[in-house]
Amino acid sequence: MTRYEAIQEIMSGITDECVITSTGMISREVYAIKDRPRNFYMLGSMGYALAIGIGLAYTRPDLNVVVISGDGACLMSLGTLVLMQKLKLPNLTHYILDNQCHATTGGQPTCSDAIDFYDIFSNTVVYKVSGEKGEAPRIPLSCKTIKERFCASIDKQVE
Amino acid sequence: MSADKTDTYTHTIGIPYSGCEYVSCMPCTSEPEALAIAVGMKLGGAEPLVFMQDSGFLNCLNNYTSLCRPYEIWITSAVKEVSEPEHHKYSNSLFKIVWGLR
Repeated sequence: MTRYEAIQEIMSGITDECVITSTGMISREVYAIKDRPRNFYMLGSMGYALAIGIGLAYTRPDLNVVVISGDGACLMSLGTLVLMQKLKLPNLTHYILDNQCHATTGGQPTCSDAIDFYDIFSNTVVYKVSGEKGEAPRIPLSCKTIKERFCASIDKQVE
Repeated sequence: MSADKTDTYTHTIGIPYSGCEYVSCMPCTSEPEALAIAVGMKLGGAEPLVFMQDSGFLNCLNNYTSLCRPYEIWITSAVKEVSEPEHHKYSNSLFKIVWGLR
């Protein structure tokens, strides 16, 4: 399965959930496959999509939150997966697309082949995907626009 | 930005330091993680306060500059300066410079 196909499968089941996407090709492909105001695309700060999802899910139990991360990003913030495991937030779902490389930057290997995320973090959904970069273009939205339309979609304004 | 009153915030979150007067609403594993969680809280309409010591603030520079600034998500941050003993000296010096650039 390719990463693109995995994202297609995930997004096909999305209705009113808030979707937080990790920096790089994951954000670009989610935008290409199913752009919607309730998608919060991270364009920087690699490794912190899950933390944002935790904060949102923790304070807004009325919302269902989905986070889509890559193995490289998760490895940068492994502690956050442990925190998620501890908090057991019922309205938070975390997908890890594990291609064992940094596909966005040219396929440089990560060290995720040494473990299986699901063995350690049983509250994640892991897709083993191939490591091609993909062709989705950059997202033509400013960071501020991404935030404003996201907040409007959940009826809260951030100043 | 420093914060003297916590009663105007919905959540306090951060990494403790010696003599810390704040209690985190969840046991964060790092300062940048706490800051990113606070961003998620703020997106949801909460008003979090993040606390850390100055060395932790330096850990957060990427999230302040690549997350908070471009998305214009402003998080009140209470930062404890620690300049002694020696192993705190250099990070505190750098913190003063970076803090002054705001």
